[in-house]
Amino acid sequence: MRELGQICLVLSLATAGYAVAASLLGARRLSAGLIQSGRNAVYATTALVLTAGASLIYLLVTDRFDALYVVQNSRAAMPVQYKVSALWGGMEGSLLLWAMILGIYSGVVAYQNRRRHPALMPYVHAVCMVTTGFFVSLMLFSANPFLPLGFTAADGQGMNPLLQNPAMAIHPPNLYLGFVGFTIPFAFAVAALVTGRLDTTWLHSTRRWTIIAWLFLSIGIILGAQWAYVELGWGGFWGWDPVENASLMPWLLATAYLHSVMIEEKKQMLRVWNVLLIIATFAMCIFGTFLTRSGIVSSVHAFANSNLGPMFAIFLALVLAGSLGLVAYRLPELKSEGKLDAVLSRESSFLFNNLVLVVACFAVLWGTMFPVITEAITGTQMTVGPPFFNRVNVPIMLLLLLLTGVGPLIAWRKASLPSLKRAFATPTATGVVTLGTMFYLGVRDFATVMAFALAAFVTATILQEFWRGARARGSATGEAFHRALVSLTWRNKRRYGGYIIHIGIVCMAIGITGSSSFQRETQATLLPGQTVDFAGYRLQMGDLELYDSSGVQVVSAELLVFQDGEPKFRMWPQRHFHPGPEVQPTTEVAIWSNMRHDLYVVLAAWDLDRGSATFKAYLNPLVKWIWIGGLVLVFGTVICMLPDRSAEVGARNY
Amino acid sequence: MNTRMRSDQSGRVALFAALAVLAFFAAIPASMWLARPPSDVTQAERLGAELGCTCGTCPHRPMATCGCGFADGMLARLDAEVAAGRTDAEITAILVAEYGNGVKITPEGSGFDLLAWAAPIVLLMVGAVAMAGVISHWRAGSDPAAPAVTGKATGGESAVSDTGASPSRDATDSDRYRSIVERELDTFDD
Repeated sequence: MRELGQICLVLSLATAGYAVAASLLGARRLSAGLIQSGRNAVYATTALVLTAGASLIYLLVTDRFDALYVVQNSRAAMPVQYKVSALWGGMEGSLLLWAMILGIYSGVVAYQNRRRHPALMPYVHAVCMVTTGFFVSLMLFSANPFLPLGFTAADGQGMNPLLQNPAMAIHPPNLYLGFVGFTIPFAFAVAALVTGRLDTTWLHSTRRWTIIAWLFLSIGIILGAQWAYVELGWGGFWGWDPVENASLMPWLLATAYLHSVMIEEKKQMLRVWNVLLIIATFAMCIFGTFLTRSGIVSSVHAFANSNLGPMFAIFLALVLAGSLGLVAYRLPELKSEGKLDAVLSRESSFLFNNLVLVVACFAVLWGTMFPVITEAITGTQMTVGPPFFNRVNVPIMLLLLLLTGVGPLIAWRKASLPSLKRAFATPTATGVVTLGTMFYLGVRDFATVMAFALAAFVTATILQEFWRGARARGSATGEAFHRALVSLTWRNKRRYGGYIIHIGIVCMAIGITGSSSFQRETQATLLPGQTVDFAGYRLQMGDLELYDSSGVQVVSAELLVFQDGEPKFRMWPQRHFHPGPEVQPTTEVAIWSNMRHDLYVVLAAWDLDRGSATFKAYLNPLVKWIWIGGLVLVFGTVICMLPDRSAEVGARNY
Repeated sequence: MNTRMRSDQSGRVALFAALAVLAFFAAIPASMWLARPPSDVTQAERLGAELGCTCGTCPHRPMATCGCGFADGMLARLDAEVAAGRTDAEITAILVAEYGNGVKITPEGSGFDLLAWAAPIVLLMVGAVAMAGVISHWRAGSDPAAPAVTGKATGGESAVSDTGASPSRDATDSDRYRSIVERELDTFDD
């Protein structure tokens, strides 16, 4: 099976190379046969990388400890789901996952468009296959997942225990589905630039792909935050780690693109900007992958230092030079005749939104790379941590929240004062009342007060939009309000799905602000029977145990939690000692969660002889709102992706 | 009369927009200043949130939130120095001497570090100027006699769809359509 995987990788490089050559030659000679042959080579590449991936999964699941990757990343006693997730637990396997996902995307795009866009598709195939070929080359020449060990080991070293978590098992594939997904709109953009077909065809063709990639990237980021929250044991969910930042940066750019593309679709403006945004988004995905594998920044998430950095840097440079060169070449044709009827218009608000999102991305990139830049210029080693990112990004995010509310209230083309007054009255009043309430409750921190006031403002704008739309529809069609609400959303999925996404963002903003502004913590060392009072709870220490669970040594302390003098629930914060070359303890946090707050308890230290344990307890307000916001965001995005009848009819006409 | 009222209204909208844009861009540097740690936190709490743990497993996390045993030791040292009445700068220097430069996780407000804080603001300002240029260019390019947007509305999103006015139609038709669209824009909030 190891040999099969290796052969598939070699063959996939050959078929990807052939697909590039046949597609480009076919496009140049207008040869349908060559283009068809190139497309078939794309299908073959997809099949080959998927077979290679299946081979590695088979090796992992069947404990083939004669394969180096299996020994380094798996262990016989590991549950089967973690053996499968070991596919992306190591660097070599994660590159294979990249290639597999890109193979699937490329195959689906090739099949979906086999009778559409004959001029664009050969170049789309070429870009997809160049990228696939690059990742396959990395595996074949530098990080091969199918290398033999040379002998058969008795057992493997196992996967990093921190990664043995349900959220972590599905977080990387989602992240990769997002990262890799942006290859498709990028490929269409390059194809449009090469062919000079710069109308909105490529935008329409990639809209759903872009939203899919954005959705998966969003899910990946949220799952990553949840993993950090339950697994790392420091009471938070986002540490501004370089790898976390690497996933946030393309998300910010893609969000900007998803908004600005609407202006191009409606008014054929911002064509250069949109092409640049999608190029930057794709480049940022490659940069993020490079960041985790180059060793240039230190991160708890990064793979071990490797020699892949220079290869990624060269590929990134080629991507940027090639695509920006094409933009420069097509600049005269890309320049659109921009017309704006009024400064105060939806178009302007989207421009603001784009500027702020791009600045947010830059601020994150700048903070992440500043230690590298400082060392290169001054020779001084330094670190940039959460205080910097929070101080720079909190104001930017507050402005974004403001724009989330303002955007929908300003009409396309031109807004008049009467319509603005009407649109802003209720939301502004809601925001001001919230601001006053926060002040009355004694909250004085500027960012906290503003975040809650803006969250109220945005929620009011969205509810007002739904209310007015449903009421207008109800009076026009005679439908009851609730039916009008559903049919309104159904008839304009993109717009109202977008509003639902905004509600999700507001929920997350509430959760992030609440948990970071009002977090309380305490630390206590207790003997069995002793208690500590904390944030309205009384925690009573029970038994301290040490036991074996499937080869993992578990230290577990029981806490009985009282509220208002009544026993309410029990918690078992734990430490796990996983077997391996180095015994690595992991924190298993105990969390009691409701809509108001999470009681989050960490077992910090213990003394088995005395039976005592030291706990760190945190009260994290409103954290659940973050996860609920994530679900709402996913729901809204799915609504946006559902086909509109008009879009289907339009698609047939292309 | 009508034209004058319209001109007054446009002037007020432009003034409102200019003030909004000014407030918008002034908000970021102002907020960054306001987002500094509140003054009611203790010196130990403030430094614990500003200085990093150097345990090696969480290289960028403030010692107050690291949660590892190593951070507990650093926090105990911090508390001792605070109790000795030292200043922020003195405590930072002591901790850097003992635990290494990794303690400093926030760029300073002077020297080369100032670049870390200034660059995002500079980009924002440059972007704002560029955007103002683009908007003004677009405004100059807009044809006041044009009936409405010429782009095709997708998915029924826009209340302002193609009015159907063609260049061949006469000025009276154009004015009529324009007044209809203006009226619709005033009453519809898309």
